[in-house]
Amino acid sequence: MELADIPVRTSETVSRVIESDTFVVDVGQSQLHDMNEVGGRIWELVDGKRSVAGIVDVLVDEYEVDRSRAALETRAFLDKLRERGLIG
Amino acid sequence: MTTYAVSTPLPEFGLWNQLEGKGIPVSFDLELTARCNNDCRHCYVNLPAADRDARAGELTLDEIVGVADQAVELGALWCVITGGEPLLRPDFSEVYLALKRRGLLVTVFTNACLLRPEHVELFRKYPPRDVEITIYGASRGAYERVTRTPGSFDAFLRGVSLLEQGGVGARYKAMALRSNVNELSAMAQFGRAHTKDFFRFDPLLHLRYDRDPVRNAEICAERLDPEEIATIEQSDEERAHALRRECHRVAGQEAPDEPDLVFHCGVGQGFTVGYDGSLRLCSALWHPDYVADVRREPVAAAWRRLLAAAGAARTADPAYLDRCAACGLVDLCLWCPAHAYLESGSLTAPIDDFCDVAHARARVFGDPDAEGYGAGVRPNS
Repeated sequence: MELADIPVRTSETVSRVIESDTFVVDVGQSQLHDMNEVGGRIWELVDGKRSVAGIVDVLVDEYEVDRSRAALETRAFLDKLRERGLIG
Repeated sequence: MTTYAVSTPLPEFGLWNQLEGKGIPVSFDLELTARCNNDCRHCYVNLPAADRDARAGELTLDEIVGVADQAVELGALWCVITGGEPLLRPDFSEVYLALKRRGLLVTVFTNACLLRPEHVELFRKYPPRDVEITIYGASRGAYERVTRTPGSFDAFLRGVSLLEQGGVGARYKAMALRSNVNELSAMAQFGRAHTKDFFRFDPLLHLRYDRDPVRNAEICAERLDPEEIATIEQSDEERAHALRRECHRVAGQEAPDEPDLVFHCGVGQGFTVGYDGSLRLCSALWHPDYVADVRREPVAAAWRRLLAAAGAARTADPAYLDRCAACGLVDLCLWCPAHAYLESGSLTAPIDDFCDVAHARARVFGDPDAEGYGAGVRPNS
């Protein structure tokens, strides 16, 4: 996924936070997606309006991480979500 | 910043272990009804399909949704829909979808006899985590000897076929009973031929929740002898392997630090909500000290109250302390406080039938040279 792309949740999902993990269930599947705190924050930021670069901006602001690493890992994570059919 | 995430397909149990002990009921069972289209000899719950009182007492769809919302709020991720036969409920599909839409993984226990194309369509569109089907016999004769319901075998085959045509996977299980034990290997063959998942059988029968003495006598008549149980388990490669492993585990097991605790099991990792709104820490735990009513008390408050009561329960009963609490083989039998209560009215009474099975298993599957707590065969008292 490129920095200019705007990720959109593609399916009917339900998510909630238990302890510090975010659990996302796709209602049309029977698979549980377990995200750690940062993954859960990215999931929260996927709102269909914010670009990948916009998500990275928020993460750089909230976590102690340099921008290039944040961009690299955020794109990889979003690619993984796309592979699993959770975002487009 | 750490690596972000993992995606975890089920079934997997690492997550369950991760959340264990954190005060989160990861799963709960929802008994939609106690009624059933069959009248199985060994069943611990079933009431007639037309039982008006039972039907009138069932939680409504709105009440079930309220329970599900509260369970999700507590952290539940997984719900098992069971019964009775849950497909007897005319609003089964609405209940199922409501649970799915709350982000729960849903398992459905059914006898498959009442499956209709609309259920299959529902499962195709909104897949369950599992559909688990019970087999009562491999032939019409044995099947209907158990279910005491003419036409049920054909209905079962029709349900299985509908699921397969719809591409909905299922797993199969059977109870090994006096009435069907001659067909156990054929039932296993059927189950394994119709699933990509697994088939399992269970030879241990527990008594009824309503403690009906006539029905309990029927259940006892269906129980196999301890040696017979060990023999059929020995003839099943998967089962025998699991029991040998379990015998090895209990041989190395340490004695419990606090033997006077009544509940040594994992009670409280989830809960069960009965058709009438009763909430128990596990489906079999019917002792009144451990039963709440979700129509009168919020789920979280009820669950925490019962959990605290179970955690504090201690006993000075010598029959328990000298026998089950000190027995290294207890994990090889069906004994637990809930089953002890169903059998005897006491949470701590040893149950000879279960004890005999544990010792028979240890004789067949245990290592005679093993040392340590749990090793060897203790004499029955």
